[in-house]
Amino acid sequence: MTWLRRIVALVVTVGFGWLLAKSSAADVRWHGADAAVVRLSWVARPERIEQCRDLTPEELATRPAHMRQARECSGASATYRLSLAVDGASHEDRVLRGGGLRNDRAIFVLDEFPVSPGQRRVVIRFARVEPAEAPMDSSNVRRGAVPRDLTLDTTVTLSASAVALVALVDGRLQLRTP
Amino acid sequence: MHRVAVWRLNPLHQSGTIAAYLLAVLTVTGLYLILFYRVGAPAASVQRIAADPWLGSWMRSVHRYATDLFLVAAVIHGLRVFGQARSWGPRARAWISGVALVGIGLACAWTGFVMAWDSFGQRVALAGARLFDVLPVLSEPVSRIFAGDRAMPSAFFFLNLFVHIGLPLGMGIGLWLHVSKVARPMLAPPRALRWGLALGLIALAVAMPAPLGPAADALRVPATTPLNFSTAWWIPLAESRPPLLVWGATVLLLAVAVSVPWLTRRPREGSFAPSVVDPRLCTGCDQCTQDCPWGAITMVPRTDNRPTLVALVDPALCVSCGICAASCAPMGVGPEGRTGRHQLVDVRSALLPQLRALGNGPRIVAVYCGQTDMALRAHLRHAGATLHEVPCIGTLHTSVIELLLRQGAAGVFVAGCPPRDCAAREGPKWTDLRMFHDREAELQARVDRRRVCLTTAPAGLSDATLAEYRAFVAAVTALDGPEVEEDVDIRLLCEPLPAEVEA
Repeated sequence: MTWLRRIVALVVTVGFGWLLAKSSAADVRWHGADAAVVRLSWVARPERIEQCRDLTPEELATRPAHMRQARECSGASATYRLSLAVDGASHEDRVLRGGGLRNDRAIFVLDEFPVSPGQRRVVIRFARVEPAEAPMDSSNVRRGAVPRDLTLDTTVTLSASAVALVALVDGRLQLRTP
Repeated sequence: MHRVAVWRLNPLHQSGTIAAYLLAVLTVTGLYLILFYRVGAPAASVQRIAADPWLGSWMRSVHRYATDLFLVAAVIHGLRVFGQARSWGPRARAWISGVALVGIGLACAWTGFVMAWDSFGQRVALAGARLFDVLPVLSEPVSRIFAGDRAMPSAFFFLNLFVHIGLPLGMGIGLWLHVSKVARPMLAPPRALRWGLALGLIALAVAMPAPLGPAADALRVPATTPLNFSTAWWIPLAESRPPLLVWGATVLLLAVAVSVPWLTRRPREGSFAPSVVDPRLCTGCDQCTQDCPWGAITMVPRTDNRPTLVALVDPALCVSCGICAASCAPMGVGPEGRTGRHQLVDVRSALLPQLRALGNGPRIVAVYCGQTDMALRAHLRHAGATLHEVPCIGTLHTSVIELLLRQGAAGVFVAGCPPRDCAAREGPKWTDLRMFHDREAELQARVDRRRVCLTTAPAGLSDATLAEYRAFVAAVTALDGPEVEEDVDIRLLCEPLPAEVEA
């Protein structure tokens, strides 16, 4: 093995090692230097809306004895509209349903919205789509259903790289900043 | 690569053993790091390890760089095997387990990054959670763990640690499957390369410690993070594409990788026909079972009345490398058309007439492996050699060399691939032992060894091989002229045949 080959081998080895170390430490953009984020994160159990009626004696008579229930109810889970506006500009406006095949499971809200740093007016609304007069299941409170209308209207100063976290605390939307 | 590395240490040829060796390095460094890791305070414990200048810092960096190098070596190994068409048939299990090992390696690296729980670990965790959340598996999205509305559960880090330790156990099983169909698997690179790798990794770790970002903070979104391109190249792609598209691409890539053995398979005939045994010629010596690099030959009881065992080839394991053809002194085994007897017939009909046509010119036969580079053949032809190509020098029966020398060749120059680059795995090793160290099916003692040269002909170094050839020619020319035997009996070249075959 000549000296020249030894030197070239050494240079190639050092170069490869340097490349390996550099490829392990490359700074890659994630959110960008001028990003702040409004993050919405909460779990909401939807209300149950029920339609009930009393069965007539004739209807009851046609049923087997073990199915003679005087009051019959059918129901569905409520849907909710989530909207977010920052300085009056809408960032989000969509209807959310509960999870699961029958939409009777919890709604998981987890969204991030990049906004420019600075003082911002943030308005978030999470409200039931079905009208207020829709009949409700009496067990909603017991089941811990989310209130019908949650609104947060606040002004916040966001610095670059900061996350403004909006969470549901004790039945109210709250905004936290670092 | 051969121009800068001694071929024995060529890391491209050693890519498989380097990957296996790095697994051992990862295990050792990982065991050290685990002693100081705390699932209750992951970021703080890793920061503490990284701040220890004596051992912790470079141990962690070696662990990180060994991971990167493992995946680089494994991918190179796969590409080489694919390039040499060694990815089909009986090698399918090795290929698929190799793909699995790379996949597990990537997953292991993923959990390792999360363990550090710096800004990059947070990024990796979020990218992974985003992918998992589209799968209808968990009732609550995983991403919610990282939202910041509650403290990170230490159960998450415990689970992550459990997976990070469990996956290497899976890699151990994968490695066993990977080499399970290979006789005498090589799992360690040469000693010089082992030391070089270990010292190189330590030097790199000391000179350029692996990066560690600031501790993860759910309520901070860093503008940039350090990103490991060897093992986490997929993160920017996964972040910017819909999760279902990422899953689709992953499944597609995996399906293509796993189906390579079927996409590249060859018909089991001609050059790819499995070896067969002629039981009449088999003396039960057991040599072919010892030499087969794939463990495809076993010895079984005979059905005739002879007292020995007889060799039996399992076609499902045979890769048709032809090594057995040269291991059998009576030339009773080998792929159809490539047994020792067929080789002698070919040499008699094609090569000897060429030699005789040379008249008084230099009668040097250069036998070369078909895998060597084209430039070598051109150089040898230009230098006046009579060329004879074989699929692998390990398939060259020593009787062919003896026949050539007794029929007028002044010398036989045999050029093979570097041992760790041999497509038949052990061709150069067995050839050397048969020619110069009396391994069974040996070159007979009556053959003048000064007229035989065995050399390694690495790709890209054909000029060096040519220089060796010229030196050999000069040495042979200085000898007395060869004695030409007009009629050589094939039976004198090999083991005596059984009486019934003679008959």
